[in-house]
Amino acid sequence: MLSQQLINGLTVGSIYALIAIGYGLAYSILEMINFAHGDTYMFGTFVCLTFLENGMNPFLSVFLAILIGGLLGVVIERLAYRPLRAASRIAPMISAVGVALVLRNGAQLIWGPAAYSFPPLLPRVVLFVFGLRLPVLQLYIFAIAAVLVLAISVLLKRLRLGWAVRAVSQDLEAARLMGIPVDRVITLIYALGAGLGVAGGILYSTYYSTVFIGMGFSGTMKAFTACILGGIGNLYGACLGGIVLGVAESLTAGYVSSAYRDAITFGLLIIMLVFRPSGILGRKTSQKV
Amino acid sequence: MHKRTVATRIVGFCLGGTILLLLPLVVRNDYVLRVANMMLIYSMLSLGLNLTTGFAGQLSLGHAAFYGIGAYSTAILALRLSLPFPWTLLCSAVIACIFGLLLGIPTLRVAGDYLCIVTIGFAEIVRLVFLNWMSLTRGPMGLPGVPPAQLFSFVFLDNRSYYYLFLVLASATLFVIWRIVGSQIGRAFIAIREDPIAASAMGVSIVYYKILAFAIGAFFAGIAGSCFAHYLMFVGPNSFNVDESLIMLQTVILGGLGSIPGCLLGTAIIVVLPELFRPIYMYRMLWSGILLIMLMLWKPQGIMGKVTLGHLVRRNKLFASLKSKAVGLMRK
Repeated sequence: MLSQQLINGLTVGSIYALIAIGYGLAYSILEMINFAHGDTYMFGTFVCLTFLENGMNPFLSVFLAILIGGLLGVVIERLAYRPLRAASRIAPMISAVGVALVLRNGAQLIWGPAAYSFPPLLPRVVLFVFGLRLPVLQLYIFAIAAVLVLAISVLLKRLRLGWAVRAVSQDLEAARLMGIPVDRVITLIYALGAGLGVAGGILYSTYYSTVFIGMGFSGTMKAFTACILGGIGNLYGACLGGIVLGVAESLTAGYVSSAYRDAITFGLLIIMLVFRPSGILGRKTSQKV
Repeated sequence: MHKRTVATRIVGFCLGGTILLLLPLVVRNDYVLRVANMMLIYSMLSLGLNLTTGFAGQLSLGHAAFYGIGAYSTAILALRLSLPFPWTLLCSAVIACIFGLLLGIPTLRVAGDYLCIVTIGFAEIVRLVFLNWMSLTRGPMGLPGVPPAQLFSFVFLDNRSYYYLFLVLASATLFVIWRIVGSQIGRAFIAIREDPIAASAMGVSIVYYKILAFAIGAFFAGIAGSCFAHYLMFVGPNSFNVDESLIMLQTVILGGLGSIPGCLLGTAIIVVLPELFRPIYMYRMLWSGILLIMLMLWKPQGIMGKVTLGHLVRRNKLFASLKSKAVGLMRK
């Protein structure tokens, strides 16, 4: 029972990690709470569902959905966030709330408010290893998420693009002076974040075999919680935070009450923000006047 | 203050007051009165939130939680304990106020956009409790049959009597908030909004005033919630979700943070406009999203606001140093 819950938690946690990475990347650069992140991934997942229902090849439709999600991220950044970059931190955040509302209600207009069942993209076989029940679906999800996370971390460490991203997130102005095309890098970060989010959303929908409008808002909150848990601006922190959150949720669902599963997310978030806002992997800093 | 502005204010106040007093005598349409009643309820919410967010600078996206706590308190007190009307109103306000104190405590350690997330988290936990505490709130089925408000032997049954009740309560709210803002408390709120560190150096107790800002906002939201419960005679968990908090914040931002007339104007626009364009009513939230984006792009201070949002959160040194450390870790 406990091992089962842990496996479930790890699976969900790896999905949360994927969603959180994209979110954390954008946050670490612009210090902006992107309320539209979850709604972008919800939108992309719905797009994927539409493709699948029209009989498109699963690989192609997932790929296209991720692409469209990334494109959506670019458009949102261009229209609603970039003009506000010089403003305070609150203005782009409220603008993001507006984007989230537009996406959520736009999706509701296009697809309706109902929850749809999501077709099984991955095999649902169960393996037994040393008496442990190992659903293949969960292994797949975990593996896909791990591969994507590794790919991103390689990208950030080894490629020139990754250097540019790190430079921009350290000091935007200095990076601009060094000739780094800051605007393009930021656009790319949003595209990457949204694309990863859609990948996470598709995995989520495959795992729970459902897709619904409300998963956008809860996705935003979960991504944020994961980032805060692990420590903002830290790639591995976001992963760790996602997994801790997933395990905490599935243990709550298993041992306390599944109705209060989301309450655990928010409870953890508040406790973390109040007592250790720099996260598990972050360090304490003091405020200077 | 210039004499002219005082004169315009008095004239505007009298004019507005007369229109509001005479409205139900001229308009006999129940639907219009219903919209007007909702507008009055929202104006109480908006005035309270404006105190917390506009004056004290504590960005809250969880105001619907206090509204919901007020409404549920009234419903439960009236149905379980058959408490009569003025008492339900008072008790609900006090209960909401206590929860406001509770939410105020984290604000001592968390500020700005993090605080905003804490308030959302709080509101969601409250909503989940409404949804899942079956024995008390009947979960998704809600609590029907809340008795109508009753003062002595007069029962509030039609929209018009409710209109006057809400007008009295909203005016009282307006008066109290106006007096608070003009008093030493209001100046302390503004000092904390502008610069908490400088304010505390000047001897303003940040702990006390931040918590007070939340408590006062929650108190009036509790009153509004109680009105809502008596008026609709039904309380359900879906009336108090995040969208509701967003609408309240929108009324405040649209009118202008830290402006009392602005927040009333914002409420009027947000509540009445979708009703005027009834065919697009179902796209209400879509339009309000677009409105928010456009407002931020072109007029972030709102229609009548003097405070720019920049004052609410400044890029702080804490974050910069935190970020450079995090980036350092990422590079390792």
